Amino acid sequence: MNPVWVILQREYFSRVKKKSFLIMTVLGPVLIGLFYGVIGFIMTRDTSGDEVRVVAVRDEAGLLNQHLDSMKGYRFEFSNLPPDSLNKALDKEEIDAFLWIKDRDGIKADSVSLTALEVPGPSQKRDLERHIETALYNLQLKQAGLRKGFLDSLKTSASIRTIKLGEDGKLENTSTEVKAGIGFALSFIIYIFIFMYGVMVMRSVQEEKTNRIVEILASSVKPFQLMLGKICGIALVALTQFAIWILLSFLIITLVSSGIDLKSMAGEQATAEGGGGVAGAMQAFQSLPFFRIGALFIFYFLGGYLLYASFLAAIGAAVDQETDTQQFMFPMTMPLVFAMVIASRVVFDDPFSSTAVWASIIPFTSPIVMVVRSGFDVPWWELLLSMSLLVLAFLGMVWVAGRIYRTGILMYGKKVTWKELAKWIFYKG
Amino acid sequence: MHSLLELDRISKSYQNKQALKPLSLSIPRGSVYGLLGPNGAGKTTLIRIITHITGPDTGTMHFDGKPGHPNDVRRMGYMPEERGLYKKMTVWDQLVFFARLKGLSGADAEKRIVHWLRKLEMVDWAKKKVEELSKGMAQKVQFIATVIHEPEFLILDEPFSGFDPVNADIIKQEILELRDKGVTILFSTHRMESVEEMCDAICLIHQSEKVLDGSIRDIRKEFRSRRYHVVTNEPYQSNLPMIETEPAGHNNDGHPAAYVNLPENMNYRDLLNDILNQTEVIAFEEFVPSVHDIFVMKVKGGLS
Repeated sequence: MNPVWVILQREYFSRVKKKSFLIMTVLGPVLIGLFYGVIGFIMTRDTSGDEVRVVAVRDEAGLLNQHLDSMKGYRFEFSNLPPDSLNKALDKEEIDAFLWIKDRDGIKADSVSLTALEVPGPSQKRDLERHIETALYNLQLKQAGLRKGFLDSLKTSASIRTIKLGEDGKLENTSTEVKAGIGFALSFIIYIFIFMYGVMVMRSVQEEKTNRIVEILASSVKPFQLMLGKICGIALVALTQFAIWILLSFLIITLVSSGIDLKSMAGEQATAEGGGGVAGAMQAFQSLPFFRIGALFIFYFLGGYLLYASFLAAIGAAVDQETDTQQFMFPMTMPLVFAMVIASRVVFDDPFSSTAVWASIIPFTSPIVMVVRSGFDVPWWELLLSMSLLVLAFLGMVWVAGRIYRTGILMYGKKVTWKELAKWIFYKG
Repeated sequence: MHSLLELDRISKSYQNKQALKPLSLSIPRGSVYGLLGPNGAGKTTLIRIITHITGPDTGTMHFDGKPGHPNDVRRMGYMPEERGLYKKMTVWDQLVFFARLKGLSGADAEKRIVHWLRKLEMVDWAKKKVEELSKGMAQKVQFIATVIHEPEFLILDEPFSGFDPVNADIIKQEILELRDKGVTILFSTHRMESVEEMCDAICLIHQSEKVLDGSIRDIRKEFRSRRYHVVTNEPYQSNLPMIETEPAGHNNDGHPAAYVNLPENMNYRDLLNDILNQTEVIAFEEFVPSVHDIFVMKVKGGLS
């Protein structure tokens, strides 16, 4: 039997049989969900809480006609007291802040000031500014003689529904939000998995090196076979985990949708709101090119994983102790974090911007960035270029890693530097 | 009987250090061969070349009469000096893994593992993880992993280091049993006295260079001391001028003893006859230099 296969099996079964694998597979999504839930909760939470700050307003310019509606977290009281006594009141904490509008020449930064014990944060400040602007705007419209009813009728909401014109001329409901959301979630999974499983490869290599098992292994298999078996075995563990997740989510979706009559709900809402809302998102979700996204996800995960895991395998082989790996981890962390930053820009900006396009073609970032874009219609030439570059890159990396691995794995007691690693690549067999 | 392993001017350097100067040796089939020398002499490098872990810079290697091929390692069993096992794996899984790595089928592997676990009285430990075993136990597992595929050629680097005397003896018996079945064995050690009695032939290496090799018998012959310890009934003093005798006190029974140095042109019969002409012989023994003594002699001779 091929020794690569024997190694692969050991790597695979020794992990999949572990209880921690099962626990992580089931708990993983729950934890990730919880993580995002907590983030979402913190972001949307009313940060000011129930606390209402009292703001004394000294309107020297008489702009606001002695009235300013309360807003979230703030109540306004007009006062004609001089600034000094207002400052004193602030000092005694009788009021929380003091807003001073100095002259009528527009609302500029130096003509309006807010003095407070606790200076508002950027978004609070923006809210305050907008609140004052709106009040002024409404006031001036009123003074110009426009009725409130007319003003209300001016308020419209422009929510764009995106429809994709398919090649066969069929119109499809799409949702950029849903596409970007799915893409981002998948790319985040790839990011986490490349790290998690890449480091797993490195640890596994190190275990064999520090326990000196490798000397026995090396007398039975070629180091390259050993490395390959290990990387592939651990990749299979990751794929198994995906498979379980897909199965689980399929089960959950079936269970949920059998509970709620999705079709009729979607139908009602679609006519009522023209495809917006939850049902619309559901519809857009169902119209996603799942096969394409899934295939791209698997391809880019494997490509990115092979690229980074083989690098980490080489590092694991080169150093004696895990603490020495830090200096070599940086060049792998950097492009991944960079890719994640671009990925989040892609979600909120333009998935077809040139940064997005190039980042999804360059192999070190493409596994993450291309997956974010996978829901959108990426031109085929970009895909082809990106995929072939990734394949070339990981083949090159596996080759380089194999060379370093071969030399490093039997080398003990040597402090390894980048220069040293470069030398190993060109050692003769 | 041709050689199982034949090395011809094998050498190896790492960067700027020559780990092995061109070295030739021949290991007879079915023999117990000792690769002896102090730490850092180049033994491990040589073994790594034999086991195809690294390639030599120059020289050729023949295994079983054919040019060396990486697949030869399937017929070898190698136990490195630094023992290593997967700590989190059970003894059983571990042995199955190593056996399959050597090309055994799962069923064959299991049969042989059962056999060896019984033989070394370790059946109860099969499902234990290696980290739960004592050091001696783990070494036994290591030994089984080395011989599980029934290699024709066994390479043992410092085989008895780390074993307690009881376990070392068990392993020694197993090794001798394998030898009797025709397995060729290569011992590598810096503790020359530990394997001396078992070796048929040896190779001494010092500072990356072969100092001496050949069968133990030939080497002993070459390095015989021609010095004898004689215990007699009456004090012995040779009448022949070329035989040097020095009195050496008395033995436990109160008999007089003497050291005798024999010249090149005489053998022990001549000496014995000479003694018997004078008195009765109680004990008669030639000083046999140990391999270690020979090594020291050779290295010092080489240096002077």
